[in-house]
Amino acid sequence: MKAISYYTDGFFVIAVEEGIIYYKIRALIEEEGQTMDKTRTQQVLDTGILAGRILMESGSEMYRIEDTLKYILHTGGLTKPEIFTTPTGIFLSAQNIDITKMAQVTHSNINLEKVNLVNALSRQFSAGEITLDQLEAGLKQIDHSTRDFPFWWKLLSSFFISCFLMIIFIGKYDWLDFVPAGIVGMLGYGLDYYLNEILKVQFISEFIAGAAIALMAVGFQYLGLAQHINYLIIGAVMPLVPGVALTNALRDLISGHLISGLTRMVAGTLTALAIGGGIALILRFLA
Amino acid sequence: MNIYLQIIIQFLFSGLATVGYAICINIPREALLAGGLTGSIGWIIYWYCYQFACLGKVSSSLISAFSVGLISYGLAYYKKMPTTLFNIPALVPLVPGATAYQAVRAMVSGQFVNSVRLFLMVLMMIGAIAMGYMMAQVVIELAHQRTT
Repeated sequence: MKAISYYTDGFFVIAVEEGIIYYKIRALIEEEGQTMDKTRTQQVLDTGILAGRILMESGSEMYRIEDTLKYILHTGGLTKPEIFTTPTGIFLSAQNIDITKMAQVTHSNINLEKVNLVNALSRQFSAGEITLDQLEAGLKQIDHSTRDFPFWWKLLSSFFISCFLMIIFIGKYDWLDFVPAGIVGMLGYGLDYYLNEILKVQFISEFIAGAAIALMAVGFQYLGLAQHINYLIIGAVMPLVPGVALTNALRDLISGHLISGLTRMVAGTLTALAIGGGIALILRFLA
Repeated sequence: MNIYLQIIIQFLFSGLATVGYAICINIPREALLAGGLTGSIGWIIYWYCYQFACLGKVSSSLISAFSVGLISYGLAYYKKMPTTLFNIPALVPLVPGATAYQAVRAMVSGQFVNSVRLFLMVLMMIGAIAMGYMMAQVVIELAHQRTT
C-alpha cells in the first residue's frame, strides 16, 4: 500500500482508472525485483554454462545436456529457461531476463566419469539437497580434478581391445595373430595419445597412427611373426575407430538434434577417413 | 571347435574388450563390471542372430542394440547412474569395424563397386544400432507414461 501511494504521488496524478495504476505499479515492482536479483541470476547462468561445458566436452548426449541445464536454471529461479546447444558452443538465457551467457567448447574427450558426477550433482541440486554455491564449487572441482585411470592401464586395455575384438570380429580362431594384434594396437593407441597431446589436431594424429599401425603390421609379417595382415590390422585399429562417435551422431540426428548430429557425423567421418587413409597409404606401397 | 568352448570364448572376449574400452573412456569404477556384462550379452545376441538364426548383419545389429538399450536402462535404474555409462561401452563389439576396414581396403585396391557396397553396409549397420537404441528409449518412455 505504501508503494502505491508513493507512485500515485509521483506519477499518476491524471490517471483515474484503477486498472492502469495497478498495472504500472506492478511493472515497476517487477523491474526492481529483477535488478535486486541480478547477481543471483548471473550465478545461476554461470553454473549452468559450466555444467553444460563439462557435459559437452565429456561426450554426453544432447538430450541429457538440455535436461540438466533446464533443471539447473529452473531450480535456480529462472522459470522459463531458453537453451541452445551445439557441439562447439552453448547459449543460455531465460525469457524474462536480459542476460545471455555463452561458452565455447573447444576440445572434446569422452570421459563418462565426469558425466556421471555432473548428473549426480544436478540431481541433488534439483532435489534441494545442496545450494547453488555448493553446486558451483562441486562443478569446478569436477572440471579440474576427476579421478582417471593411469595411462598404463589405458595402454593395457587397448592391448586387450585389439586382440579380443580381432578374434570375435573375424569369426575365425586365429591364435597366431592374437599377441601381435595386441602389441600393434597398443603401440598405435599410445602414439595417437602422444601425438594428440603435442599436435592438438586430432585428424592428423589419427592419420599418423593409422599409418604406423599398417607399417608395424607389414613389419610383423615381414619378420614372420604374423600370418594374416588384414586380421591384424582389423584388431589393431579398433581402439581408434570412431564407431561410438558415429553412432552417437546418428542418435542425435534421429532424435531431432540436427546441428549437433551433423557436426558429430562430420567429425566421425573425418576420423574414419584419416585412419583409413593412413592405412591405405602404407598398404598401397608396401603390401 | 566345441560349441560350448566357442560360446565361452565369445562371451569372455566381448566382455573383456568392452571393459577395456570402458577404461579408455574413464567410466566410473563401480560401473565397469556391469558395462562389461552388457557388452557381452549384446554381442552374444548378435552372434546368435547372425550365426545360428540366419539373420542378416543389419537386423542382427538392430535386435542386439535394442536389447542392449533395454539392459542398460535396467542397470541405470538399478545403479542410479546415467544410461550412457552402460550403452556406450557396450556398443564397441557391435560397431562394424571389420566391414569398415574391408571397405577401405577394397577402395585402395581399386575395387570401387565392392567398396561402395561395403560402405553402404557399414552405414546401414550403424543406423540399425542407433535405431535400436532409440527404440529402447521409446519403449521405456511409453512404459513410464503408463505407470505414472
